[in-house]
Amino acid sequence: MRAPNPDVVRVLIHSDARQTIKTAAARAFPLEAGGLLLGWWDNDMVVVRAAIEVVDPAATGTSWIRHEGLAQRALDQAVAKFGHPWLGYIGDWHSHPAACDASQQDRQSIRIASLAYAQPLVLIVHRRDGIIDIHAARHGRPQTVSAESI
Amino acid sequence: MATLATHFKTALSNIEPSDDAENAQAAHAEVTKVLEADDLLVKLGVDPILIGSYGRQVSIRRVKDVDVFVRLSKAGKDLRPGRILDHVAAVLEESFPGRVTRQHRSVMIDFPDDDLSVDVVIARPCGDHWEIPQKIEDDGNARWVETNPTKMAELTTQANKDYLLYDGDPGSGVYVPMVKLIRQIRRTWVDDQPGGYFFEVLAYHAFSNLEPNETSYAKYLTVVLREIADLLIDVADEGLDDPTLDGKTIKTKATPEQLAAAAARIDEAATLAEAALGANDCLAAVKWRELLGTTKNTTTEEQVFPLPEYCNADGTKKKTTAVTQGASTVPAGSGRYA
Ligand SMILES: [Zn+2]
Repeated sequence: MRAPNPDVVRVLIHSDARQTIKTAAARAFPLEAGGLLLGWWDNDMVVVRAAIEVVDPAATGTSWIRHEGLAQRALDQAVAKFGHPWLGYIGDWHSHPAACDASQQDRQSIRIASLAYAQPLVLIVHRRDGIIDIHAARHGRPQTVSAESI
Repeated sequence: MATLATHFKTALSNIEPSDDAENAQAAHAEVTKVLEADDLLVKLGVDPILIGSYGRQVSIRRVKDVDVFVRLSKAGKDLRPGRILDHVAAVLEESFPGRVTRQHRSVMIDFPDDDLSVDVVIARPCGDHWEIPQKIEDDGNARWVETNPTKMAELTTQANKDYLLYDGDPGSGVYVPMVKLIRQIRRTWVDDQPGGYFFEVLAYHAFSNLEPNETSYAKYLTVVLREIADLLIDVADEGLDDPTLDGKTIKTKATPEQLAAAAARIDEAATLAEAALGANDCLAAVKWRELLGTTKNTTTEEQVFPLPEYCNADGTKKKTTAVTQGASTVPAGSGRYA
């Protein structure tokens, strides 16, 4: 058996999540939209089953902030609504109203967030041109991502 | 009780006619362009619009035909539909050689690459409404009949505003998704007739009768399906009221035997939905899968309702130690993304 590479995170992204992100990004344009990724960890893989939007009332064309209170309420509601026993918080997403990848700030924020979790967190950046840029961090360290779509 | 919200969303996206929608849009645009470039049709005030399930955004995969309603806003009482249909067919034949069929009351254009056809229906104004030829005689004259093809679109839009999944969230309209699920159930449970529009109208009446206010797709579908099953029993005798024209009923090709068979099948389907609603998660999913069947007319038939990741196909829960549930708390403080 091949030992899993500790620095590679497999990310499986469900089309429901992609669709939700795409729709929210289009609706918010020219401002950024953002929210939480919901899913679970399966061995060395992170499954992104769904995405939810968390409105940042102060979002601009270059900034979206995850506020703890709003985000926790959105997570609780989503978990209750979806009724899926494996769903929980596994990372963040936001949109870029331009065709650029994750910024320095973006990569730093997901690394900081990952410090509080035993498993890796995922960051999805939805670019204006429809491309998604995917990052992951574990215990504060950036990870190499191998992504698949379903 | 299992409402399986995530999986209903996936089921809905599995019947969404995404590729078809682009092809249908393109085909409609091509046909419109040709008709709007013809001198005679311009003189008659040609003004085509999309109608049909595709136009109302309640179509499901696969969309095989697109209806275009060609309003001739300046057409007078003396318009001979036989002659004008011949003309429309000739104009289209020039741009789509070998792909045009003059039908009894319409002209059909084939788009073989997309496995799609566009049906062109002509209409003339009559007071504040439109008329289409009902029967065209040998001399090219016709009996005209009132029609209101845009009315169903208006009713659909309104119903989708009135019935919400989440109170206060105008984006959670549940009427359109329900019509799509009902159309899919018809394809799965009913042989050919009555058709998709007939069931759409049944769904419309079911919503009007019940004024349902539920909190999940599962519950909406269950109550609406039961009401449709009940309505079907009466429809066999009394016909189905046309919500777009007072005092008229919906025409169907279904024979009384086919209507009776459909009523029996939908009664079965409604009973299955009730059982699914009352079952535990995984067993419920298996029943929803049976109810919604597979996608039709697609290259590979796919199950519409997904098997939840935590379920086995026999309705038992997976015993897995490999899975760690997503976190129940978000990170403390705030996280800034630029
Ligand atoms: Zn960013």
